[in-house]
Amino acid sequence: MELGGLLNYAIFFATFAGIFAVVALGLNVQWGLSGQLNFGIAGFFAIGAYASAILTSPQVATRLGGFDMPIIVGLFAAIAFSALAAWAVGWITAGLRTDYLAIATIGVAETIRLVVKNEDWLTNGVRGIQAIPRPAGEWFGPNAWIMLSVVALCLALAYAAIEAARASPWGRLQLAIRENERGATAAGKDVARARLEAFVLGAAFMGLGGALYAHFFGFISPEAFGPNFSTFLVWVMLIAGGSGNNRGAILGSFVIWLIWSGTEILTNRLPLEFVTQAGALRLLLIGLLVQLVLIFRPKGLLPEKL
Amino acid sequence: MSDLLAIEAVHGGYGTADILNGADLRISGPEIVVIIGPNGAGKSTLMKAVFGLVRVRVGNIRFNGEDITNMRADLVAERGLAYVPQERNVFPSLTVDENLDMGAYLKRDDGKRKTAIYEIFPQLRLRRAQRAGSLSGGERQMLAMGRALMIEPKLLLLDEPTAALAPRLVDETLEKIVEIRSLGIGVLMVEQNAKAALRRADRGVVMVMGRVRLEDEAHNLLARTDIADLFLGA
Repeated sequence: MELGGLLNYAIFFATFAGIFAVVALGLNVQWGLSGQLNFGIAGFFAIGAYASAILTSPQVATRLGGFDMPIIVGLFAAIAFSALAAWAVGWITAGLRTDYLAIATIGVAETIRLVVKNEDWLTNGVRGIQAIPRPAGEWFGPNAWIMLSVVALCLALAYAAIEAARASPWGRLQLAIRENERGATAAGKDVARARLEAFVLGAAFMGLGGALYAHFFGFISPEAFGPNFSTFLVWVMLIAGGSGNNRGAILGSFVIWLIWSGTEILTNRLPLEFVTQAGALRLLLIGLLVQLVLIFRPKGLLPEKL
Repeated sequence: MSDLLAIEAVHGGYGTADILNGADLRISGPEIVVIIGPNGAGKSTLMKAVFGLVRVRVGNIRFNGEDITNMRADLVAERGLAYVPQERNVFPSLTVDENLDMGAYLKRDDGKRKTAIYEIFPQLRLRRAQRAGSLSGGERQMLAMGRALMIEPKLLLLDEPTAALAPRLVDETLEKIVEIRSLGIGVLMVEQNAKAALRRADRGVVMVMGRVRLEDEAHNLLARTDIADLFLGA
């Protein structure tokens, strides 16, 4: 590969990994900080992606919108809509803990995916949404550097916001609830509300990640929002990176995305009869990696600092 | 109406099974009241019911004249009622200081309350930057009580504060509770070390099968041989 091609790939890689890092930071609020098992990341990711796509894309006859709004409006709307959805989900599942919450969130994500797939008037169904604008695209066209800068800025802001939240009394309350919920209740804390706040905050970043994804590719369809890609992979990133540690979440995103992308290079070299199974093989490899991390480095590459 | 806490004919428990079967209890002010009774009598359950952690099916509980029956625990705490569970009552990965802060978020602290609490429990001040998980059993209990005091309660509920403590620490802990009362705070406690507790208490109540069967001044209970044989142990 020539140098220019390598650089292009590096930018593409960093942008994609950065988007995942925003989502992983969101998961780190829910799981790392508050101890809530959300297996429905894909749902909030999808809501963010579609909210921004519908608001910012040019008008078409076959679905709602588009409303041709600025991307910044789309990003904030993505945050707002995914937070709102999380509030509703969190409110309904308030009584659920650990694995029960996880099961409920899987159901929610599947429901959202089916809505996206079938409500043509809203999302254009399986045909997806096209011509989603790129940042500053009206002046520069699809420019990889600008996209990377936008993602980097969002990632930096997300990191700063979550670090600040973690160091605040609110963050300590989350930690206290995670390790001793009864004790926090006895200390007179509104535990249900604190958990809901963490769930909503985390989902907001997942929605932001979804919106960035939409503007990165310029096209979204329901296929991108299955559980393998945007739920399973994000969990692997957080666990491998070190749940509870925001830098770990970011590092994990880059490392796992590197491995995930790397496996594509490997599977492309497989003999023809195996190529059809390449997708499953990649998942298998990532699953194996999680096992190894859990055995040899159970707290991740960068463990939580207490 | 001057009662600090009034528990009237309370029935309730977990799920469909009632543990409390018409429990009555009154606390009039800053006094120490000890609940004694056999295992399964509903002593801890009664405390949880007061703090909104166990459902009251029938009956009512008033605090300072206000009905708090089945009120959410955080709202009960806001009204000046603090509760220290028997187990897991501190946050191990937070420091001693941060554990105390956990109680303070309800009311902003300018540092005075924490200073006051460190005066009652000087050994906590020495360990203020240390994680609660590294404290000894006795220190943990002190911290749990200190955390409860951070909300400036009018009444403190203590569930077996001396459980699993060495005999020397039992007396020390109970003396701290006397000190807390002298600050004008009422204390309702469940205690297995019944004799030691009654010696420092104002009143004692005997609970059996989810009801208060007997209620008297603490020294009278200590003097009664039948009570001693049944509930006070050796």
